[in-house]
Amino acid sequence: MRILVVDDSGAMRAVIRRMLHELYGLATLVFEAESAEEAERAIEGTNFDLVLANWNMPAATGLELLERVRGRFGVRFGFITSDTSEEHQSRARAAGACFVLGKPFTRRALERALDEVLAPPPPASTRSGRAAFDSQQEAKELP
Amino acid sequence: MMSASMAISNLNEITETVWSMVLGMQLSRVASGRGHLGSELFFLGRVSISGHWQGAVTLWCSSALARRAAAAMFGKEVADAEDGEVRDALGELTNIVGGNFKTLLKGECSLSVPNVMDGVPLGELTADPAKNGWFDCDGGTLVVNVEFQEAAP
Repeated sequence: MRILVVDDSGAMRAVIRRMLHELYGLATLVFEAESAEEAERAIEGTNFDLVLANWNMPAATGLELLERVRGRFGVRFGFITSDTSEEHQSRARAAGACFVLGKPFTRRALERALDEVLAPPPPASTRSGRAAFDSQQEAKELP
Repeated sequence: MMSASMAISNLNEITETVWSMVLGMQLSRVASGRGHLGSELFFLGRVSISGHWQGAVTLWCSSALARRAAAAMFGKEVADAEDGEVRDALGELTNIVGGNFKTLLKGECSLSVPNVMDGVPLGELTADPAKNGWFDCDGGTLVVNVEFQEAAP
């Protein structure tokens, strides 16, 4: 499995990388990009099973990255962001994101989000895309 | 509109949650430590809010605590945490705290990317206690500050 983590913070990339290896083992290949531009070049050259991107980054945002690559590469895309406002969630949904996971998040929340996306799809009659998106919203306990 | 006391109360709760979930560290709320910390230098992380609301969320983190936070996020020993990693980690923690605070504000607004400085004396912190939350974390000090107002129509 190949996962690309896009975040301008090396600290957050390290946290996500560690969680991914704890969840799926070291055989999971975790690639890193520190900007949308670097991520776009990586996506052009590698088939990723999933891109996990921060939203708020210098220069291009994670949403702009999704809009650039989705049509060309059809890559599955999830956001990990500190801003889970309704505005961000609806824009992410409209752009084709599979989920929006709020920071901070637990390893279990990351696992739930990824399992839904990476698992083989059930028959189309049993779920809708909207239902899949909604089921992956992190239930946060922040005020 | 959210009052200043409600804002700092929310910010305190967010900060405690972030510190616990991201770093596995527990924060204890304390009274202002301005008196005995006068000579200590801090790392300062700030994100600005713009749009319907104008303001900023700032984290003041004592050097030792900031280094421990970086070590926790990068998965290394405290002594091995480099200055750039400390700034990176505090910037990300500030981004998470500020981003969660922003979601509590009604109306469209956006969050800047974090800006981090080091070697900042505590004297530059606003003296208004209603805007500051003080924490101890195993001897390290963290102060969170929020300043915001509704933008003029």
